[in-house]
Amino acid sequence: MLRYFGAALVTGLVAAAWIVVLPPSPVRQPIAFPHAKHQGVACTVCHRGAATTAHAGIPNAAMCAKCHSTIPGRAMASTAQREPPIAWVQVTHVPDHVMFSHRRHVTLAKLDCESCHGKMRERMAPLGVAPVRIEMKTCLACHNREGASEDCAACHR
Amino acid sequence: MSRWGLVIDLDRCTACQACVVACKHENNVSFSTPTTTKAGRLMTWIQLVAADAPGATGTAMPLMCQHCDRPPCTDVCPTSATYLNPEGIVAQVYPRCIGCRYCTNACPYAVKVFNWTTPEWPDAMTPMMNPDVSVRPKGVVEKCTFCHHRLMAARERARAEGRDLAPEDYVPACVQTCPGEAMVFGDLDDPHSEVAALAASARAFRWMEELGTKPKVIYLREGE
Repeated sequence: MLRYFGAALVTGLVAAAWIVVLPPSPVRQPIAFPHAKHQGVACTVCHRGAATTAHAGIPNAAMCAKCHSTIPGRAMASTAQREPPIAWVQVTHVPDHVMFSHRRHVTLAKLDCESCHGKMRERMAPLGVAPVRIEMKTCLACHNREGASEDCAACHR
Repeated sequence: MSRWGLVIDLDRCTACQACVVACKHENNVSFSTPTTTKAGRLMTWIQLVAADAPGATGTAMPLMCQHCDRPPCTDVCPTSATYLNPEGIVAQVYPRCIGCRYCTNACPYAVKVFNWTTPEWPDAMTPMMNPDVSVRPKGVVEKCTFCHHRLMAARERARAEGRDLAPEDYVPACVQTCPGEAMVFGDLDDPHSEVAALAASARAFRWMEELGTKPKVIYLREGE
């Protein structure tokens, strides 16, 4: 009896450790988009909302075609020519009770995209998991350093 | 730093309840059934109540969080989920609220409401939810925020356009909707603002001001 109990305990501990310690399994993106090959283009050219609205947005195939149809020898891979919308999977999230505005941070505060999204410019493969863990202490450290509002209601909606 | 306040002219108010509807729509405030309302669990951030203040008998008045300068609700909150922010708005941080309801009992105006059930909307209304305001879960207290999300958006817009925040940039939904133009919103500390002038008028009174809560919602009513 004791032997079974010990086995169950070990199994339980391993399962708990599996959930807590291991990172979430990466999601599969619909297109093997290489950011590194698009280094010459500013982030806000494709993620158009980042400079002007709350949501950065993810480009659809029509946006890709704007460049790819005009540059010789840069024809899009057939997978990228599908009708929009491309089923990108969002990997960087803020909790539902947080109001995050890209314009407030990118245009007004001049925050670099890398601060929250990591070195996307160097990536050849699309993201399967969030590159940077975004927590309230991360936000507050920057708000404190830069003299931005630390009023709870400024971010909690 | 601004000190936001609201003036409601009861002589202009027709009790049409457009402000009530606008608030529900703007702030994703869920619906109540007759049963829950009868049980005293009406979910609303603003409602019309009988005004029985001296010289104001026989009429209804819109009552929402009075955004007191001395709010009794914040004193009793064990988790600091509700607090008076630097601009005079009594805010509520929902993920921090443990639903103890001390604040709902401490509030003499009874304008803080507890979510007894998970909020639900008809499917057709789901796309109309305001993305700038969260949906509060069951078990937390919620309240009027003077549409604080509108202040954040207005300030961001003004900064992006390289100018200062103008009085017309930030107006709560109830004020914007009021067809009788009975509501005026603005900075009480700005001596040139309309609210400051109205708040100092002889017609002004504050609801239950004898309690010392120093409300920033000011009512106007001609004495009889």
